[in-house]
Amino acid sequence: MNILTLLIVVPVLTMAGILFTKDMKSTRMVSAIGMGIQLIVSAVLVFMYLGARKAGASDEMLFVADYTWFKSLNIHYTIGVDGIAVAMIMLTGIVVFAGIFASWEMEYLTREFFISLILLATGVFGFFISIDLFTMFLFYEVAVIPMYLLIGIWGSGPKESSAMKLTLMLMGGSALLMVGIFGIYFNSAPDGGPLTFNILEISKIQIPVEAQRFFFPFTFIGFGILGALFPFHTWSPDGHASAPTAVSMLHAGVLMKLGGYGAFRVAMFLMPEAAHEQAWIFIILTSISVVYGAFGAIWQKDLKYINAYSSVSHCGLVLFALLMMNETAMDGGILQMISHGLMTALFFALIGMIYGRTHTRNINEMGGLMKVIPFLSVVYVIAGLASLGLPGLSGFVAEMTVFVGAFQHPDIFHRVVTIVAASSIVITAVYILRVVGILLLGPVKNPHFEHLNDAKWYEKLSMITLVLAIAGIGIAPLWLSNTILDSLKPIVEKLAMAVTF
Amino acid sequence: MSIEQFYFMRHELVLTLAIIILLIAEIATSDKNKKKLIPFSIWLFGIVTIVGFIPSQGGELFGGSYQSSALTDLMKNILNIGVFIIFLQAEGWLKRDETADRISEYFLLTLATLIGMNFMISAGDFLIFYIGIETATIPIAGLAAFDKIRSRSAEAGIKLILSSALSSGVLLFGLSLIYGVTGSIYFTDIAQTITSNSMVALGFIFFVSGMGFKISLVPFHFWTADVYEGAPINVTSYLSVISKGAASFIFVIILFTVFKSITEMWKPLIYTLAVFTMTIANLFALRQNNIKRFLAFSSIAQAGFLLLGILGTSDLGMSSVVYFVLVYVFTNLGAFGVVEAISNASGVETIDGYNGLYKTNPKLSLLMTLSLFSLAGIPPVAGFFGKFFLFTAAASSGYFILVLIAVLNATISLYYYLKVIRAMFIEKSENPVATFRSSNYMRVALVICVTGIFAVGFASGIFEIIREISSAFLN
Amino acid sequence: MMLALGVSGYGGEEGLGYMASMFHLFTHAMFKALLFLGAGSIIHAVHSNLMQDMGGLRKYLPITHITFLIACLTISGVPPFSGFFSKDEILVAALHHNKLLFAVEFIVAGLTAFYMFRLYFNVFWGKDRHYHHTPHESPLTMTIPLMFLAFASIFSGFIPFHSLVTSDKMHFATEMNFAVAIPSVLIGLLGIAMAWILYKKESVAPEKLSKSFGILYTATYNKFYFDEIYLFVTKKIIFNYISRPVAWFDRHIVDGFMVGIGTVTEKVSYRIKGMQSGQLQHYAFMFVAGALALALVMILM
Repeated sequence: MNILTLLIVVPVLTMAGILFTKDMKSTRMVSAIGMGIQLIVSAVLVFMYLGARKAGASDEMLFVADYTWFKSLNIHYTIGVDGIAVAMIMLTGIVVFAGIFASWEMEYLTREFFISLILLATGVFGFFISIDLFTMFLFYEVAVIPMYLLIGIWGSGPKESSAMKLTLMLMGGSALLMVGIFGIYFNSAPDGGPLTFNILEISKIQIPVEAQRFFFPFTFIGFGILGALFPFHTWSPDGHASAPTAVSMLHAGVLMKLGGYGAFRVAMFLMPEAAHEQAWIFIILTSISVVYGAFGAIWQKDLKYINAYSSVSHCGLVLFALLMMNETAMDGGILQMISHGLMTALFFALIGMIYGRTHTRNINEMGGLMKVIPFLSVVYVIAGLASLGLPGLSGFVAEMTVFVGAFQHPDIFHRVVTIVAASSIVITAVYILRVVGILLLGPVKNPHFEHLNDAKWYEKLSMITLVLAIAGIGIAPLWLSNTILDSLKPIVEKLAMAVTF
Repeated sequence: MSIEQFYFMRHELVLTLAIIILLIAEIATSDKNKKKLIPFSIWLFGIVTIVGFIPSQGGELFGGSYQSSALTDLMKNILNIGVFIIFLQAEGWLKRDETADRISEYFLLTLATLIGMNFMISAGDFLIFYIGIETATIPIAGLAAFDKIRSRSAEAGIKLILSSALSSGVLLFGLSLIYGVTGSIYFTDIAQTITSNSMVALGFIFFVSGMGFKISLVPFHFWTADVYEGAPINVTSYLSVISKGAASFIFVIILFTVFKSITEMWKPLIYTLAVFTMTIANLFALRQNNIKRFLAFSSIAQAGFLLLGILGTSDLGMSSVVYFVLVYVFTNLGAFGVVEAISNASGVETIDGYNGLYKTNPKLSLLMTLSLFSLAGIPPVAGFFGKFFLFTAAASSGYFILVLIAVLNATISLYYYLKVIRAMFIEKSENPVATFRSSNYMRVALVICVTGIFAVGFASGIFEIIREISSAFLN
Repeated sequence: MMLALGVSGYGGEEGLGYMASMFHLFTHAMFKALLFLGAGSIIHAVHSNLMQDMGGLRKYLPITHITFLIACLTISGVPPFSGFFSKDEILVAALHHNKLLFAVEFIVAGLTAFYMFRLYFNVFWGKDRHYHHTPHESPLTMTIPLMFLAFASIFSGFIPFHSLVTSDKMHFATEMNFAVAIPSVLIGLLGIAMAWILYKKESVAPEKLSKSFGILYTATYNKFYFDEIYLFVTKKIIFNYISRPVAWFDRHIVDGFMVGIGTVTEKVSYRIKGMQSGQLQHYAFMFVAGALALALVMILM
């Protein structure tokens, strides 16, 4: 069996296994084992991929498998990965694994929770391995829908309305996306011949520029909504705030990356001319996202809201970087996806754990946590530092690369937006340090907090996995960066060829 | 006319035979044993369904008035499957004491309408078509009023019969106008001579109005909600799935064959109808609390989506419509089956009443969720594929804006489908529907629906076969 | 330090600045770390971080004293400590680049020497304060890093950095530029001497001096009010005038718009409810009206 198909089969089998479990303990064991295997498979995939590249495999996608599904419409189940997809799969593997352990104490409807969570993960894995637009879209929706139940049932606060808002906005996004996909499909053979959903095949032809102009915004905004593009980001704060820990982790950490990934792999890769023409609109929107999210975060008092707005800012930076359309910036954008995925997952895991102890997420009610729960506090500081771009952690590498790449554009417009976007680093520092100061330092505000327990083993496992990954990328970013760069080449080349305006 | 030619009509003939057997059985059984007629009828119809699947060469009968082809066979088989599921679901409702003396009436009336539908689908001229459509409608009024002690049921019956009288009149008027222009009632003749002029246009509008009534397109849909709500659930599901499915089949056949040469004329019409049907129905569905009314509006919205397939005006369009109806049969009957099971067990028919259902009846809740997701077009269930192909068909004609309107409508529809799911999974309730075990017949029916909801989507072969048959039919 | 980067260009002769800044970054890491650790050790000893609470500590904290002195000498650019070499190269680079920059850098070097030794003399010399309990040397875990860093501060200047780090992978030789080195050492020593005169012994001189400088002294005493400005900018401007409106805008305008779409849909849904009256004659009317509307559509299209 193709190793990529295995990435779908393992979660599906895990879900089936969970159906047969009887109590909470066995359920979470099965989930942990299943997602552990998934993590191993992801890691093996990384090594296999690097090995194959080293051995000289030069195809754009590796491990390609192709099964015809709906023959008359030329719909295939086509899978394959390049370096970017491999990196995203590894990220997903890590975050899902950590997410399982972060929801170790899930008591209410345990089986249903883990099944929904893993279903979400299946959708994400499927999305990243897809080459065929139809299967990609299918997996995309599979990943989005369980969110409703996950937030609605296991969430907190105004969970029903948040869940509804999130689901409807994301499905609205997928509505736009669907139109975009049809547009691509029906223009995939301008010289006659069979229409196709296959991204690689479509990338070899040029979609008529008129069609591109019309369908690019649909596709880009469709994905952009999931990537928290201003002004379509408002599902994100509410959704994240209401979602249970593991769901926030997965959603901010991985699901939002689907937006960025799709934006360049589908929208920009297949419609480069329109991408160049319309980039300025979206560059402005994303720069707004970046700064606006950061400013929004400062005013929040709820830890989850802070992090949700911070995600808006960081994911905005991803799209911003991709729209710069040069190798360095796009490389940075993808690094930023991975980096943000890891650290935001870590953040949400921590917030969940702190909330589980203090029963509040309002930063003004907390203080001096460093004294009572040092392990969690130290990890919080690490996450914070990664988020504000401290060298040695992943965030620095990513942001640095993005801005260096963005600054390569010599014209005033790009310079200005880059400076505007880069200013977010300072604002990020303000809100991160402010929270760290209020939350962790100072006297213990609430006498009840004196007796809090520090992290349990499963929580530590969850956090250490993520911290190691963050530090790993921060200290040795080159192999990852190079893998991504290799795979970016065809995309960047196609984008560069389209500069005729 | 030889014996083999009668074989083309096997659907209708076997059904007639079944009706005769049932009549005899009704006379033969004593009053005490009436309830045994239920399983007897169900299995009898099972045989009818299987016979329908025996393949045959297509052909014409009665000088072209009756046409049989692989496509019509397929359509009839889809209807048969649906009716079989509905019969299975009817068991719990029919065996109550108040309906026990009318069991055979239920089966006889239903089978009579089915014969009407079969003739309608196989019609080769407007006369047979009209007779079929009337045969398919009038007995349903009787069925809608089946729970005659309930005034709502009686109201549903009278509303249906009166409004269908109006629609039949309009339809007939339209047909006569077309006859006046073309001088023929035969489909093949009309297809050759028809050209777009204002008389044809008027006739066509009346024809569409009449058909719009059957398929319940806005603004010809008003009867739907009242009748669906008042009629017994089983009859409602019959109306919303079988009746509507059959009407859609013949609608698409006539549009694609008889009115083929004036396609450009009717496209804007169907476009307008599609937009209004989807949007208005969705807006109405938003505020419903009665689950039957809710499903009524949902089914109107689904009809709006179906029009997108018709706008495909190719074999892709036709196959997407047929495929969608097939998906819709399993999906909607799954939803109605759950509603019926719950109504039989507890009498609850409101969305609020479903609060906390997952705690007490997890399997039914899951099934309902699957059906609703399928109705909303969420993967990986069949509804997603059904909708996707309909939209593909519309997009293939270049109607991207319409597709956008449709998908946005699908998003709105997701809102109200999720409301039901929220009630079942999230809301807490003081006195939820008590845990119950539905009858074995109902369980079989629901298992068939679940299998269909999953299999019809994933098994691409089904769509491919439909596509082949459709393109063979159109060429 | 940033100055060095500022004067650095890429490649060729200009690469000197780049190399110098890297070099200074490297040595700076050593002695700045040493200073901070030393300060930490002092604070650990006297349980205060105010300079008024310190004085005459050299007797109590011998190791800290020596290492701190080394750090101060290094940062003042006294040969042969590492700071001398790196700072020298920056100055050379600056001289190549821009005379004004060189002058600024030159004066700053003097000031640095002055304030570092002011600190040094105040803390380790001067008279004893009334300590709550006698200060004592920090434990080995603190002094060993101090000693290691002091060692590094002394000798890291001899690393042939100019051949290790370049901006264009081309080695280039640098020689001691005595025309720069001698004045820079001199200004360092001058700064130290000033500090020695003013702060070595308790005297009224600093008081007088500070009075004569007046506002400037107060301003410097308050770090040019940077903290206040910073707090003003973050608390008042960013929090109140940017973040708060942004948060409000997001909640009420952007999100309000998205929610508004939903609300309007619901409203419309409520409004059109009357159409479904339940009366058959209305339905019939709508039916016919609908057919006529379709006819209109056909005529218009």
